[in-house]
Amino acid sequence: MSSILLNVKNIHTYYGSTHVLHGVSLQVKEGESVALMGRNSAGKTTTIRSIISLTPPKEGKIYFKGKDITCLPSHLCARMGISLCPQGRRIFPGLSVIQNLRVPVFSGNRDKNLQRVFKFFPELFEKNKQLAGTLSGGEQQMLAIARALIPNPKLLLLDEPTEGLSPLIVKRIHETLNEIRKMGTTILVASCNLIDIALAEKVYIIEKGKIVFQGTAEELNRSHDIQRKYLGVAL
Amino acid sequence: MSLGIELILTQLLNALCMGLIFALIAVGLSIIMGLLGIVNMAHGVFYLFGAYFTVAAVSWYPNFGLGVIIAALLCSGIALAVFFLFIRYLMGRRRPLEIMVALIGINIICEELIRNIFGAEPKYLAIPSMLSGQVTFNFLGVTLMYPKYYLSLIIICGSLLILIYYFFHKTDLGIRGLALIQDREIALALGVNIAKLGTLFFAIGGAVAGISGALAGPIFSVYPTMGIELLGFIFVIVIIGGVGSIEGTFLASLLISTIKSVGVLFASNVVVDAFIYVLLCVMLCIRPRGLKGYLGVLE
Repeated sequence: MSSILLNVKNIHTYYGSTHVLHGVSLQVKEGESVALMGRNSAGKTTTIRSIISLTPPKEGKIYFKGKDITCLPSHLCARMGISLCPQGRRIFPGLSVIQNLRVPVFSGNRDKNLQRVFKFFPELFEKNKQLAGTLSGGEQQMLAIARALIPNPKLLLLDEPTEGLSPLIVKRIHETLNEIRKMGTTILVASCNLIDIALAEKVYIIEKGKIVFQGTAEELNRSHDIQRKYLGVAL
Repeated sequence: MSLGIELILTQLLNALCMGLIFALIAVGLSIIMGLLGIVNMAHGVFYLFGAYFTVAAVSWYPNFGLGVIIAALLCSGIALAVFFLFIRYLMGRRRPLEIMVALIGINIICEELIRNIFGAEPKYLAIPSMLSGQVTFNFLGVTLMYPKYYLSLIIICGSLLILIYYFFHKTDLGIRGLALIQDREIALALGVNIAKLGTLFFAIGGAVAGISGALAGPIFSVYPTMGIELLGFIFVIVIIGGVGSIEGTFLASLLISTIKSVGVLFASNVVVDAFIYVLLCVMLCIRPRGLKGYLGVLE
């Protein structure tokens, strides 16, 4: 039995005076891959942002590797081994591909990690001098994932990794992420796209800031009722 | 007045010289505004102190080069003091207007300090003897006489700017700084420490503005309001270039200095300066993020 890597305990998060998360709890075990599903504005992104203190929770606790990281400044969360691939990619448009990959701060061999990332995404290597803002949508998503992988994170947070991409690119990104999973990186993926369940073993469904379902990916795949009720579509 | 080719060439060289000096001051302001989101009304202070520190240093030991280096070091020290004593504290309160007013206050205090120590009348800073005199060019049949000091300024300021450009595009610290300017949240989430970089860039910005004050001292005169008078143009440059953009700042500096130097051949100083502010208004209307700025830098 593997230990719990990320433990989110009953967090309440606000945007200004708007109460967004109403006591969200979830656990991610070491080496596990977990999906956080839900409709738009259900609280997925806010949960991710709360974990790394981009919007720190007002109540509740977050533990990473057994240490309390609630409200720990974002750059220190990163240095503990949590990496973010944000919603909407948010690559640095005015920097080249290679410069984007030089931004993450970590202790370790960068050249080795660069090589590893370029093995996953050879097209980024071919365009490494190009300005990131001029890449296609799919390439930008690959760059956002590559950038998050550079520090060789313990926990990879993926927020909508397949949003607005063609089925071909989605397939490509799933293959890469599955390889990364196999290499032992723990993944928490937030998505409203049912396809992304394929990336996970365990699934949480969030609705209006509350966790309303928790189970294995198979359970969710079988239960079309739950899919329809909380995600609005069924596979 | 006839417009000889010599005169136009001379004015273009003057434009280059002035533009490079402007760029040295503006680049620090632009980076700090982009990085920390504060409007540094006290940036002119470093330019002012740079010139006066050099005046003081040269009167103590007559070596201009040494004076410039001392001025640069002291200015980065003052920048650090301003940063730690005021800005860090005020940023914690999250009220941008407070910071702006406090920085205007710092500006007034520094100006009065200078006026009390050195007096209100302009100081004279001599061109170092090694760099005085003229250089004669022969260029496509045109003979041109140009002051050696101006030419040295073009070389020195140009080299410094190349160094700054290199720092921001080739070193990890510089690249992380640009990343913070383009998307602060994501840079933080990738482990970039904004407090550390902010401190570093503030010190560099102060030093570089100090150097330009020292170098400009022998050309423009040295007087207590020189900082705040120039700051207006520096803000115009930063906004036209795009807040937080190195290339944009360089381009806008050369644009403004060219308009100033070439403009005076056709119109009075007042008209040319007014035209620059008209240009600023037009820029704000049609392209508020400036020539090379990023969307949403100053939100």
